[in-house]
Amino acid sequence: MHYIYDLRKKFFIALSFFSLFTFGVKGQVLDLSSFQKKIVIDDLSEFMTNPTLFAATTLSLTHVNAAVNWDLVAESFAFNANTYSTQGTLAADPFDEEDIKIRAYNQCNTPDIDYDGTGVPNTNHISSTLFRNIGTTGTEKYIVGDIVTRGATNGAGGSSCSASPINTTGSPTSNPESHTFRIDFELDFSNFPATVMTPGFYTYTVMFKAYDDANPGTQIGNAVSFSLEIEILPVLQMNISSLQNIDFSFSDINTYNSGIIKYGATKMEINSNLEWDLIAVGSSSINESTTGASPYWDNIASYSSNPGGTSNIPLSALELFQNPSNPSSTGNDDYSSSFTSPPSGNNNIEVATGSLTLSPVAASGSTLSKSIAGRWNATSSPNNAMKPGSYIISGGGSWTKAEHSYTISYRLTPGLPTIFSNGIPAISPLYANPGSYTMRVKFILTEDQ
Amino acid sequence: MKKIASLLFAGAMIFGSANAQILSEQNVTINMDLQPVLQLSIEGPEQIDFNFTEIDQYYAGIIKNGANVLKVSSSVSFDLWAAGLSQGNVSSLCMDQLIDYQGGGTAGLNTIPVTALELHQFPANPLVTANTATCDGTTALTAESDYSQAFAVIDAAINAPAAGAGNNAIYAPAAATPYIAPQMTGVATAEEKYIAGGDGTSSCAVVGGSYLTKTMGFNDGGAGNVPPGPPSAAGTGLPSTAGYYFVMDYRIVPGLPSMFPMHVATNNANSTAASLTAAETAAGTLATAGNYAAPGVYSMSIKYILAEDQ
Repeated sequence: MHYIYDLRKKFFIALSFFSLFTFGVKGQVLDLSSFQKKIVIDDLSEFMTNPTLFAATTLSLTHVNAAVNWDLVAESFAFNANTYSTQGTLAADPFDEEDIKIRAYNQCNTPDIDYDGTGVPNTNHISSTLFRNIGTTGTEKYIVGDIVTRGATNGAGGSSCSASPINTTGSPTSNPESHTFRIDFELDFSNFPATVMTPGFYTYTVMFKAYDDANPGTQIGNAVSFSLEIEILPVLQMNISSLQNIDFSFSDINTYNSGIIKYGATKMEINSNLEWDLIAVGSSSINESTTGASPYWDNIASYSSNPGGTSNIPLSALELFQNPSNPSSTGNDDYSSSFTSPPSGNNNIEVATGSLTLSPVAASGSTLSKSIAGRWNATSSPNNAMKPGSYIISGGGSWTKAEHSYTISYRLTPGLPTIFSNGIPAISPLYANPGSYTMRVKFILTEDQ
Repeated sequence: MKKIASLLFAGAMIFGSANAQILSEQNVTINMDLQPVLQLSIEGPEQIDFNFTEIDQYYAGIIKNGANVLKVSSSVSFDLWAAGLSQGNVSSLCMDQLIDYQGGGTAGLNTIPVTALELHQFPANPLVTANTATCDGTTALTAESDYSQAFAVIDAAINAPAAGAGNNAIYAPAAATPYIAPQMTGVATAEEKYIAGGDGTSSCAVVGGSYLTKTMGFNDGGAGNVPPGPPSAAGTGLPSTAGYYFVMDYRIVPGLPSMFPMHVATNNANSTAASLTAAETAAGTLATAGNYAAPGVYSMSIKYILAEDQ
């Protein structure tokens, strides 16, 4: 009796466990190994090839109802954009969910089954081997099956499942070759650089759902969603080859007259995923501290105990010569004029104060109208900005690498008397006191503005 | 959980932004060492000899025309002057006596002042030419402020300038203070001489420049002739901007008796100039009737000083 009681007790326990297990797997048809991933685009090279995120998640399906064959779809569920720039937002085809492609791979190449019998997988399906977008928000594409009732369908020809139905019962454990899908993503940057891939933080959500094959659109089990976070950062890379200090030593009367030129002392190379401007600004600590009221070199030391001249040497006396010229130039608005003797003033460096916001110093004759590339305070390419691109390779007609590389030469001409005749404001009729002076040249690469 | 998610998001932003930026800036420092350059080159012999072996040479003196040419290049405003100096083996302000031909006699005096040497410059001190410059805010420069006046005619009968006064005696600081600059007092008779520039910093200097960049006013500067050629226009015959190129003449007039009349202060237009009167004092009784300079070999030097205006 006791034995019978014990047997009955074990039976009920086993029955209860089976019931719970059955109920559980029915409610959990779809599952994902992860629900969110992030990809950061922060290098120009990533714009030259479509960035790919392999195995962003693994989609698995457990199906226990042998009477129902299932189809699997991916829905473009939501797309949200928080942009860091306005560039590219008004383009004919800005970066959006249609530029995010997906691939669902499994061992059976299940998504590549040729349902139409055309010889190629239906292009409206998600592929196991090719990246395809799902489409605008609300659009669904089939991963397995299609709108037509196909019943039990065998795996793709040539695969290990070609003789076995794949859309019937099974689980990731017992049937991993047909009931799991590795989900890969690819960002389609093929529109770059013709279209700026607007920097920003994007969130794209894909919903995966299983349908009853016999009743298209009738969902079975749960749905799962995966969010891909995409951050496209503004890339403004400037490689500069230059001495940190460029020294001019005037110790001979001939150098006073003829000046000293430092040929090709600075070389700049640009990578940018945005339209950009490049400018040079001269400044000093006294210029900054007086907000441009004293646009002069910093006087470090004076060699005269009783100097009769002035120590206020205008910052604009420094001349620059750039090679090549500014592609956006409309004339006299860059530093490509050749050095002349005496200095013409066409090569005077622009003088400004500030950092992120630059204020030209009018007393130096500066209007920030001269740019090395692009045009400051004027927007949009091709006339006012440089296109995105790189100095490393030319962009197949979109840009030339020569436009992303500039060499700068410097000249100072004290003259006799030592009044730096091209400098503004003029120091005539006095002369520049002998001494040690210093200033800085800021090369600023910025988003077109 | 929401807070954790926010923190994760913020962290992702920070780390994700490591390789990108909205602005890239590189700085290059430009240093300029502006050394004062004051170049004075002198053409001509290092030693100039005056040998008085004929009696007419005592009367008329000896002139060394164009003995030296001074060429100036300067990055700063400058003054240029000549200082007559000796080592003072006789006394300060008197020429050094190297050999005494009297054999120890005392009939002749060896106190020949360095101001016995006269200079003549061409062209004039540009500040004198302008005649409007004020130095120390006191007066316009006058002809007593440089050596541009012609050597005075000597009247052998009176052993002194024939008419007017000389205006060429060299400026003579004391031997112990050779770099004392000539002083301008604002009074014509008391002026000491500069070749270029003047005393004081208020508009009393030649602005920096170089003889290299000046033209000499030749006759080939026809307007509109590029390159210059016939018909040529008359040149000015002067350096385009005076102040950087000077031709110096020297004269010494022993006189008969050889009391070197041009050192006497009253024989000069700047008769009260301090260095001139001091040199006359150093000469003692040389100019007193009956006295004369002892035959011998004498020596002095001229120190040309180019200095930043001060």
